[in-house]
Amino acid sequence: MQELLSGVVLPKKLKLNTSTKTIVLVGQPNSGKSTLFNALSDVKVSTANFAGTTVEYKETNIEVFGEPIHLIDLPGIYSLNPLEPAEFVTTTYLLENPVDLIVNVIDSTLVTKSLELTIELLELGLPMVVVLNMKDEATKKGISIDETLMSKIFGVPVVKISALYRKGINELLDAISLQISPEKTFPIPTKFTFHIEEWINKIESTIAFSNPNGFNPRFFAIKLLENPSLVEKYITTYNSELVENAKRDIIEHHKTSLFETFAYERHHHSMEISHKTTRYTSRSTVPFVEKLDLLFLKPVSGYFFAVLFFILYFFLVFWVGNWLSSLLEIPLSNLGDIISPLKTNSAFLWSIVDGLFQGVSGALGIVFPYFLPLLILTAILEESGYMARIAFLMDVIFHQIGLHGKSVASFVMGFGCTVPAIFATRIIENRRDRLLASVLINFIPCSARLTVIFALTTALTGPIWTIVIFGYILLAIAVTAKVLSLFFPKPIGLIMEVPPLRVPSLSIVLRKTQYKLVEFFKVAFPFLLVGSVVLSILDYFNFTEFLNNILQPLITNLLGLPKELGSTLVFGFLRKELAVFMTAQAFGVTDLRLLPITLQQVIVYIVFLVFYLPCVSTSAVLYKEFGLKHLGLTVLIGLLLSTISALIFKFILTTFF
Amino acid sequence: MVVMFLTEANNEKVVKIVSIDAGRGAKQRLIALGLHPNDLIQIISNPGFGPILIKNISKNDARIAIGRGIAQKIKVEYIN
Repeated sequence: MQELLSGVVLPKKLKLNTSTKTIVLVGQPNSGKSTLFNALSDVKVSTANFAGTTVEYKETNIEVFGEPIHLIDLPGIYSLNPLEPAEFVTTTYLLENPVDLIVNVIDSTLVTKSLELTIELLELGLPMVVVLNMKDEATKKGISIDETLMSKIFGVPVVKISALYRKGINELLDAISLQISPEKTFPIPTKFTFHIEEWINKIESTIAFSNPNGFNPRFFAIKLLENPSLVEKYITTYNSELVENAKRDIIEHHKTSLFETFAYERHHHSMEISHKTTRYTSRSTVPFVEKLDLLFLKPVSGYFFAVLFFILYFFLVFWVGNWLSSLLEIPLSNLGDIISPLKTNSAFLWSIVDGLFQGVSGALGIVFPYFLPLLILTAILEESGYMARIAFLMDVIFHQIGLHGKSVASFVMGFGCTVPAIFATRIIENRRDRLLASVLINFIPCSARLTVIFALTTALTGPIWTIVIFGYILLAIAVTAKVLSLFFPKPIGLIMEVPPLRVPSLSIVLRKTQYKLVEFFKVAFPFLLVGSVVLSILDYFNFTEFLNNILQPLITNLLGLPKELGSTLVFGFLRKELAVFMTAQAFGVTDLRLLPITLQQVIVYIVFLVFYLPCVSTSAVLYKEFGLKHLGLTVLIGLLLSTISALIFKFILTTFF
Repeated sequence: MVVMFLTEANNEKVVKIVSIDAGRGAKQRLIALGLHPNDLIQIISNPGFGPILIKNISKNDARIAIGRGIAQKIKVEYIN
């Protein structure tokens, strides 16, 4: 920390001026980019979305030895030939925005694999710093890298650091400040096989292009051969006959596609460079973490641990949420006492004040306590790399229900929020598989719905029912998937990197939680307050009564629930977590435990609420991504599933309990 | 040397990738993850169902999970 602060001064305000240099962090997924970003930025961070995607990037303003820097953490990529949305974002960013310096972050323990991207980045011809991150882990694994030699080969500084333990940050800052100064060095591009190199040189001399960074024409010449669709729009003139001749000649020589030829050449270079610069001393014993990891990944023990962790996860959220909720109860009821004298004034005014109070106490007392532990535990699962193990284990089950292996990641994401999960289905190339996944993701309980489940079951039923409901949800999704997949073709397979299992960094976990919490208070909290006030006013005008009456045939006659719950479903459509404290609001209680509903009714209500409709944001995304017909189909399937599920629970509970 | 599909390789064995005959998308992804012909890989887990977990010995033991469908299109041979 001390070491870090000596070089970086945090600016007072996040403001850009023209002399600000832009530095981008680029690296393969799990290379520790975000950890480095945190180490460099420390506090002042804003997250933003790239236009048209939900791929997030983080940016901040820092100062390195007095120089103002705009630091951007670009999404992880494996190559500059993008396949997935996140990869497109990073590649497009590099092609279209002014960049003063690329900081290429490498996981030292996977140096050979990572160098393939480094070699591609060198081709861009921009000033670069190569960061060999996780140097401690590499040392532990018996890997030693000669960074001086590597720096000579690449022509740019190479620095060993440990972002997590904040080691080597000063050396990195020195390298950064050199590379943004007039004395900066440009990379030495690695040479391809002689005849390919000849073609590249010929093409290079004939092209003109537009790009804010003034890239090396060499980069565009290479990409014209390897991946023309990526760069064609930036190239204003080129000799197409020459390019076609080059393509034909290279294909003839190498007897394989151009894409593979170039990939193989870079692969060969990375092996060579790694061979020259890296020494391995063999380890006599397998480290404990790897032994443990095998247990997490092997079939029988893997499932055992997965189930164990899942149960642990639920109980932890349950108990922590319950505890936090009871802690907040006293100050909130005190607040209630303070405002209650206002009741005597105007009934309309009171309905607004009361609505606001209900909103605050609902958000803080009911939603927040479960949301917080959920966020922390999810961040731990992601940061430790265990999430990738879950995806690996779940693949078998996904194939059983006729689903694409790749959809596992988007499903896991669905436990956080449905909207990014649906965007994540973009990585599924097969459109019909993608449609299927996008329908099913709606039924995965997102953090909002998990909050509903946890809050209501904690107050009224106890943890066993949480697990029963959860088990049912998974079963219902599996059955729906199986039925729907009968109409879809067989899925293709899974290809996924399984990153090393790591002890999650506490600071990153807290940072991730902080981002999400801030977002909750900025976006959802006002929504909750407004919703609560609106409901209160509607109540004043007896509009909720009207809604309740409309929905009565469904709510009371069919599902056997109190008709007051009807209007909560309308609010649940806006935001799912609104439903839960709207129930408290609807019955005029501040504590969910006082809700006048039976065990059977709670469970029927929860099951219905989880499936019935996608929330308004999800609906918008479904419409935007797939069109009205698909949205309609999703809503229809949801309504059917929720009604059937609610009736099943109603039947079982009234018959056996 | 006997050439077989990756699905047929046993646990713990070290094999060399002979060829990757998967479709363009799958091949591109495998290559992006650093898996190339002639790479030495070790089978970490091939339970006979579900994805196969391998580590790429040529690439610092990077671990990759490969679904069975794709594994059936990768030819490998045992070494030594």
